Amino acid sequence: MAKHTMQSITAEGLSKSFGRLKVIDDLDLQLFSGDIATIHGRNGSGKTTLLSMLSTLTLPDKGHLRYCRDGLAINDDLISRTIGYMSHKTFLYQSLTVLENLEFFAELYSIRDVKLVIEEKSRVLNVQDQLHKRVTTLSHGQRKRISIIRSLLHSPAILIMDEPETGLDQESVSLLRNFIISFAETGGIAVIASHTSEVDYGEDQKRYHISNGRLLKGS
Amino acid sequence: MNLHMQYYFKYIWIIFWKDILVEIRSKEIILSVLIFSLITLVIFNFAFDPTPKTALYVSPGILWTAILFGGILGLNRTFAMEINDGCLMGIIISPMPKDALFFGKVLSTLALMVLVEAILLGLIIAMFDLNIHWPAMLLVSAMALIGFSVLGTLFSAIAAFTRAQEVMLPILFLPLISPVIIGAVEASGQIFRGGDVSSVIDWIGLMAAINLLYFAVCPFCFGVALKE
Repeated sequence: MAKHTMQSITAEGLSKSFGRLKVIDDLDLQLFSGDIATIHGRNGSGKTTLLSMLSTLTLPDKGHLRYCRDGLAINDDLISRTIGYMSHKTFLYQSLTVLENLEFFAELYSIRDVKLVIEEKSRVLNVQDQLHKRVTTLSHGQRKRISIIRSLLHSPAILIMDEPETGLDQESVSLLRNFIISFAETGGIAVIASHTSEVDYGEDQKRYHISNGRLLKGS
Repeated sequence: MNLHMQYYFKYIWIIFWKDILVEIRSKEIILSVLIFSLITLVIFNFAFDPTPKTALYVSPGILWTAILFGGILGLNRTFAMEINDGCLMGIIISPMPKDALFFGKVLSTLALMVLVEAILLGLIIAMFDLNIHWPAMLLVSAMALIGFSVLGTLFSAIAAFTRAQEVMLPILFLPLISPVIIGAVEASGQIFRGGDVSSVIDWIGLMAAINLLYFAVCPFCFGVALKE
């Protein structure tokens, strides 16, 4: 991630329905480099749909989503290189080893020195000793940690994480929290959805509450 | 070759090699396809009880029926493994061109089908003591399997997003692959009865034309299906 570039995400009037059910309703959001946005809400409040839209996986029915670098809108290719997305699902092939999975996703981003990058990112959540294990042999929490590492491989400037702390032990939650704080300090934007508001990400944290598809600024 | 094309082919290779690696580890597709195809072959052999003369007429149908239905079993798994743990989403949000994903999948399906056909063809030749013109058979097989893989990959992706995936795939796929399979059965029949390339050139031409159509339409439809 470039340290001196100013990133921003602007969402204006985003709406999304599934059939008759309106999941996101005329939602506005603006985030800049250094922001850590935590979005809280009950199950089914629209957190995952919002994150899926922010990651460009789901297209909104209405509204605009703009990603800028130094004030200029960036193209689709650059957007995909800018965003790191961690979903409920692990995005990992069960029959492959952790290393093979990470190598595969690293190659999709044409990362140079793949092995070196994997080694470096693995240290974020202490998963170096799991690299040669098959995913199918890992526990839920271990898979979650690998999934987080996968989303960091291409050094994204915008991190979008759906309930990253669920299933993690206290040590991993603490490591992840520290990483996200230092990530924001170096100019990154983190958007984190959670159904609880337990984790405190310091003074850069912007708290939001989502309910019935509408986003409210929290304290 | 410019840098863009180099990256494009690299992406195809990455998807192909990942699929092969997953298959080597799990053996999920190859085992089910091979067992199903071999059983089909054996059942048809008992049902028709072919003599050396009638074998020349019924064996092409037996061969391609076994390949077709065994292959559908494999196609059902092609995209299911991408969807189970959300891996497809991880690929879609990457900068990789979506048609490179399509062609990578086509290539891995083709590799699997080549292996299945090589085994089944070897068995048919041994069972019925056939003497065939290999260049002609290779051409016919290549045309049929390329068509099967291109169209099959598209419908495997479409069906994977539907609830009744295993029912949906044959319903969508079989009517459209029929011209290629009919061509393959007719051409193989002539080859089994002693024909060479010149005797099946019309069928090869027909299959090539249909494949061109598949190549023109399927990557586009695949992109649309992924967006939806």
